[in-house]
Amino acid sequence: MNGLFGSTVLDVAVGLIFVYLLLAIMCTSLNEWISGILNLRGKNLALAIRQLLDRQPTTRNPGSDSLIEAFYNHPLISGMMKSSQHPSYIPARTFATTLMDLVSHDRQGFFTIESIQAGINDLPEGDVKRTLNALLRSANSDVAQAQKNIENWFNDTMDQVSGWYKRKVQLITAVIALLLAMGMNADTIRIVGTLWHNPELRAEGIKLAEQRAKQKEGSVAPSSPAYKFTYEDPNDPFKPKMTAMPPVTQPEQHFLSQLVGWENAPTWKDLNPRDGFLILLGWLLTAIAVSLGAPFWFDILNKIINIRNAGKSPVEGAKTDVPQKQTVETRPVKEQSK
Amino acid sequence: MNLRKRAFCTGLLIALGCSQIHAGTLVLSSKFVDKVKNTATISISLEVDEHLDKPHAVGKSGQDGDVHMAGRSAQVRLPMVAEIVNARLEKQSMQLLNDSKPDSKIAVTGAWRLWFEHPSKETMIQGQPVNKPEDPNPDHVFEVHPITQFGKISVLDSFVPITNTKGKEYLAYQAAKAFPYYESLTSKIERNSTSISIESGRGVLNYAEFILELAAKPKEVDDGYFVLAKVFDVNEEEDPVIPDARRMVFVKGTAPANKVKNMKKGGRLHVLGIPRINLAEVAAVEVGTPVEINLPYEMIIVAVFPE
Repeated sequence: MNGLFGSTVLDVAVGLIFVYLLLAIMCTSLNEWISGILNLRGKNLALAIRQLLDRQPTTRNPGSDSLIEAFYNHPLISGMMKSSQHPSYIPARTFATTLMDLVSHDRQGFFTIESIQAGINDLPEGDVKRTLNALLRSANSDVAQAQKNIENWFNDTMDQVSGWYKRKVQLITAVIALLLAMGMNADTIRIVGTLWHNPELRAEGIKLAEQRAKQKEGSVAPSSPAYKFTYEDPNDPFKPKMTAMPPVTQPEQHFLSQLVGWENAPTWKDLNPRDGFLILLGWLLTAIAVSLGAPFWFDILNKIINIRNAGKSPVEGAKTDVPQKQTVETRPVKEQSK
Repeated sequence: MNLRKRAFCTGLLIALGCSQIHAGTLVLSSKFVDKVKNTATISISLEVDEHLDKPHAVGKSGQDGDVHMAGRSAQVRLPMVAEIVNARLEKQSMQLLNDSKPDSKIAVTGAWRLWFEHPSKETMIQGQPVNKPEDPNPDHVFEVHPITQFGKISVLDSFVPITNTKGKEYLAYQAAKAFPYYESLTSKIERNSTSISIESGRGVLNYAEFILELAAKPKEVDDGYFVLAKVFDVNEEEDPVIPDARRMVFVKGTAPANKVKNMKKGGRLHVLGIPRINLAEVAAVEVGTPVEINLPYEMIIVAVFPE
């Protein structure tokens, strides 16, 4: 070994973190899929809307929750319903506009503070009436500010509801992570051993990890499905389609398949109790790591790659840091900006 | 590559990256998007509030030979500018512009262009009252650029390589630099039943010089031609600079459109183009959850270079 930097220890660590990241990405995708099927986001949002708008009759309908009914029947909201399924997301702006339209007296032209105030005054007594009155009073007769206040009210409630949603998702993530670790036989102890004894696999892992780390955080987010626009028929430039890109690329899948899986795994009959315990421990370690989430491992991967590259000799660094093809800077750049 | 070049390039990339921090948000009406997404141009009545008296010089950076005018239009309902390319060639139009009286309206047709080069800090919402601009280049994301018809004057002949009176050529960005930059721009797109919101970092690169290779025969629309094409650098004609074909927009009646209309798959052109947001792709985002995605763009072809 050549010390910590550029050493086997660090390379194995990069490989292991990269494996955790890939498994966490797969876990997130599964989680998204399950959430989509169960419409968890939609149900959560419905809960938030109920919390915001319940116990408020309207002038036309004395029913205690009639404002909620009117809200969902508004074209701005009903247009977002897919086969009467609750939308998984409503922008704060749309919520505020819909509510202002529902309570406002005028149905034409711009919103005015007077028409909104008159509409609120006409509402039967209820929680929303009191809330809107308070939000309007702090808007200083400014419609834009009133809209902003309603948006903030919505966002504050959504923050609170997002907390419940996150806790629910965390629980699902932990279960998926454990099932994934067991189902794929992703045993941390075995992964470390394989990486330690296979320098080619380590090198492959580092190359792929560096490529993944270059992805810009926040754009092609490592933890959420990335999309791109494609044209199925090049003869038809008018029909682009938004398609999801596979969360884990083919080279990454190939790398992962050499470290996890049931091929060449010993059968339970061949195992002594100590080996069996170590496998269970390996799965558990993987499950705990994966449940920390892709953004966590993406961050750690970036940091450890920086440490690894910082520890290289200048010659070694130059060899790996410069992309093989640099067409941008090979000739004078013609600069312009409007 | 030597150290100085690497340092320069690193600095440049950091600067370009930082420029993305100043994000802007645009909210467009879905009706407007559906109306223009597969058209090359838009025709509007423009109330010209501010304009330059003479075109930019030709060189590099902002010296692009355009003449700028800022104004308001009932058809657009966004802060906007309009620009005539190669304005030194368009003497009649310059005369009309300089003779225009305050508050006068001029019929303008040209390629519509949305690009976050000069976004406002405030969210720009289509349909909200637009303040009278105070200079010829106010905060805006909407442009009619290049103009093809100004008043009754056709300026279709301005779609040629940009040069000054002494024949000096404008230095555009090379494809190997411009396209990876366009591809790196990120956006958040959110659709509801009536509007589409686009949030993006600033896109500071404009004109790009490149070679395009048609992926199919161009498709004709009322005012132009659309075609998917691979993009190559002038100095590297074998490997495309970006993996996927991009949509190219040609305005009917211009020299580039006349050249491309009879071309077939595999045909190549050496061109000058400017990017605009591809609204056909924006409209392909599903209603509901916001999507983070690389900014969808297409190229308006402004000129074809001689063989």
